[in-house]
Amino acid sequence: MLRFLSRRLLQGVFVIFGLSIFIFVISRIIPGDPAKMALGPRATETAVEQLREEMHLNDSIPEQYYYWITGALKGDLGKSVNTKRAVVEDVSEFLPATIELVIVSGIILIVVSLLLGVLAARYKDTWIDALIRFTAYIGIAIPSFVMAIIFLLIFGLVLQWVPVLGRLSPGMTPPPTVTGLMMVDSLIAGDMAAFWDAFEHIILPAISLALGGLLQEARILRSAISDNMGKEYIAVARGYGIPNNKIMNKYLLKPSMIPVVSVMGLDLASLMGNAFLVEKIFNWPGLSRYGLNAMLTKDLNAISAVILIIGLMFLVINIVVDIIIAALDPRIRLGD
Amino acid sequence: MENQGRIHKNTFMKESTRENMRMYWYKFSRNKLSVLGLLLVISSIVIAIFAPVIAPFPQHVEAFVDYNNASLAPSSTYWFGTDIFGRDILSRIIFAFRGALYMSIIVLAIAVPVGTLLGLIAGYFGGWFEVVIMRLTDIFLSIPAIILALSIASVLEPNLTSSMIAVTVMWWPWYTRMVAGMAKSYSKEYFIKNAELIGASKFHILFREILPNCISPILTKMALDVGWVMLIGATLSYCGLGEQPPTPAFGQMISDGSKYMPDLWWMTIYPAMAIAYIILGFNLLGDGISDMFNKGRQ
Repeated sequence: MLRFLSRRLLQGVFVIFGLSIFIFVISRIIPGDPAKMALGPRATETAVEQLREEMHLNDSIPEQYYYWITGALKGDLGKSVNTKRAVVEDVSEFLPATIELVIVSGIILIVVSLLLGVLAARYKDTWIDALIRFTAYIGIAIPSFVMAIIFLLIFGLVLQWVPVLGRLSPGMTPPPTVTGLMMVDSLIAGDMAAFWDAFEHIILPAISLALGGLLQEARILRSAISDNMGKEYIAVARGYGIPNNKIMNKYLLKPSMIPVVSVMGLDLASLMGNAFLVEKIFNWPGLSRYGLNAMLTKDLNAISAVILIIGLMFLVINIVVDIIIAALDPRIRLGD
Repeated sequence: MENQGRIHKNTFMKESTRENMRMYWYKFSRNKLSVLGLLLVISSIVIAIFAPVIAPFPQHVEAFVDYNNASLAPSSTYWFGTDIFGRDILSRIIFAFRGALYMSIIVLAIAVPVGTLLGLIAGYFGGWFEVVIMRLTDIFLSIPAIILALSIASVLEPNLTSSMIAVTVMWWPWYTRMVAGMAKSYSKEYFIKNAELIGASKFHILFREILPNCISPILTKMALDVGWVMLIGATLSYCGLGEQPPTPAFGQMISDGSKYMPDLWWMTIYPAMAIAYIILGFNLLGDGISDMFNKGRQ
């Protein structure tokens, strides 16, 4: 296990190094002069030249990369052209909102997909199974941003069940920031009204973010369980007269989880990516919305920082998933 | 896998291929959902090709303004209603099929051969080729696809070509990873060892011995990927990084329409349904093809 872990971590370090080069290349192939773009069209020649010097744009490419990467390691990712602040400051302001959204949505994804998958497998070939499979196909075919718009429309505007847009209702005073996660902070402050309000705001974006992956995993779990159900060890367990519930929980679920966990890991990680659109639609003040704005306005330092941080989180989630799979399946950690 | 075998060249090839085709079609058509997928895909292609003939108002696809008929709800003249400029939504959707299919075809036509070639090289030759190519693949697969595409598209000029470049750059690694795995396992098998012993060229081994055995997984993945490429394309265009107006594209139409929700719901809902139609088609077709190749599995 230790060898497996250290190899995986080493690989991760390598990937991050490669990613940093990739980001750097992207930010340098951009047409036009970054310094000129930062200062706007009316800047004087000397001001542009001064900024070029400051941004190390006059040095060679490897030198520029050296400055950028040593800065990044020290936590300095440059200044944002849009907000005129250090990118790190912006990121630390917007990141918690995204993390909160991704966590809530991840919990929904895991719990509901397992529930639906087991349900579909247990009632295989009945209308419950058919309904779940049918919804899964529809869920996969409809882009998440469309789903988000439809949800916003139905539950937010027509039925008005939950408030939409933002993290808290306008009149609410946000709880003092401790973790940056609105729901956790309001619990710490003991402010139940704020907690409930924050919950109502997060539930719709979180569901629309989770839905696509959730349905797909339910489908995979269903077919994994029904594959395993035909195996001899289950027939033997039945022969011993072990009750169905126990067979399901103790003998079927664990081996059937392996394919689900690996896909789920990919999906959990890609929640970070899909959050880009959901945040835009629900006006969620998170990192993805910040990143999207940066991309549309070609704010280089901000783009690099957002990609780097999302890549880092993606990597961490993937490593955690690999560890979980290794823990579930001895063949992987011993065989590799 | 073993019952696919490798493709044997013999004099009966023609007949046996025809028989194979019939067997494949039988297996494919047993699942009604796969046939439905095929129908959806064929109809999408027909719509794209004959767009100028099918669309009731082909002139509405260009920059066209008719404020007298603006923001009309669906009616017998404008089946899907009109947008705020008075353009027929149905005609614009029909033309948007073109861009979506065009994008998928170009992206896969570049990404699949490149990814496959790199995969064959990494898997068969191993050593440094494998290390360099596979680690490069790891890097590309280490960020969510959509963010990679968004970041590449954002630094280029916003148009269809840029978004195609962006999606192509992020698409090849999936094929490389898949083909490399297969090529590696085949390279240890007897038929490759045989070919090496009788002095077959590397070219022959890569393209005549290994490649034919990788074709069915590649085809399966391609059928599924057409839908995914469209989805990413729609997402880019939704963010304003794809096809630029007035040329219609699904994502851009949905994004424009969502500003007028829920009053002018037809501006959003119909393009959304159109993209779900085409993606559903390719997903069902892809599942059908995958079932067809892996018989006996669910």
